[in-house]
Amino acid sequence: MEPAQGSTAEIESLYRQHGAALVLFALTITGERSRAQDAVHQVFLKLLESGDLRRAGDKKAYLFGCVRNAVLNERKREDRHGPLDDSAWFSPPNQDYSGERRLRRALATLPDDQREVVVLHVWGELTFAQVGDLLGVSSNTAASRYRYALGKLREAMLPRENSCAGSR
Amino acid sequence: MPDLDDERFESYLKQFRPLVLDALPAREIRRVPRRRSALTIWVVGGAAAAIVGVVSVRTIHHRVGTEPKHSDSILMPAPTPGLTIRGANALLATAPSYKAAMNELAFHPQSSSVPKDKQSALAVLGKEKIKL
Repeated sequence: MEPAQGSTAEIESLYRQHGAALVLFALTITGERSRAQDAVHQVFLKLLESGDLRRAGDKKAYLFGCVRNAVLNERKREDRHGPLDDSAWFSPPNQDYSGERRLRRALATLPDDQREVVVLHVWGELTFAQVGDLLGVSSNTAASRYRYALGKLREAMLPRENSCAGSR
Repeated sequence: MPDLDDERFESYLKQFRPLVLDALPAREIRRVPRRRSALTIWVVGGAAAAIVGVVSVRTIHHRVGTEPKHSDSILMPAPTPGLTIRGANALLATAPSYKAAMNELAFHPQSSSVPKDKQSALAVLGKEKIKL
């Protein structure tokens, strides 16, 4: 079944709008950019084939949910946890590539549930209610995980930042 | 980076933008639906088979046409140990009618080559009355 033209345009627009954040989210689970990108493409191709998006209420949260399922299913099938490849995840501000590397490593050290909340809230721009729905927890739990995660990230990133500031 | 509360640290994190990703490879796939591509494969395959068939028939006709023709009698291929497609094609091409060609293609029993003082096992078995 071919999707309606309007639906196709909407799906393509959603891809342009949220694709990068979706890949980042998948990347924090798989650890490999190619796998993350494959998972996101797989989700969008399925949507384009079925035109199924009209039934989804909150489209952005629905997309993050689909990508999460796709990545976790693939990980289950292959029975492996993604290694952390050394390719960049972010385009850093002011070409701060060492900051990008620190952020990536700090994210990788977070427990899965905390990392998911951080990525969904900061880069996916989902509210805690949306994150809670997606992960099957309350919004309070999502917010609490977020605060813990943010504290750990700050700890991991600040000492270097301070030492850099001190050396200037 | 100054002392950051949660909000400012969050804004700092947001300055790291997720990398721009490759274009969705769906455009081409969407425009050629699966059913249509399967149909295309069948059509192309059928056309290729038809072309090969026509070329082979024409080649055979050309070869037969260049061979010297005898009078009105049926041109029989040289005696061969068995019936081959090539022989059948040659016969069909040269026979005056389809029926004549079919008659020539029909199985002809070979004459018995059993010497007079011996008997054919098949003949003996054929005469025997077997009780079941």
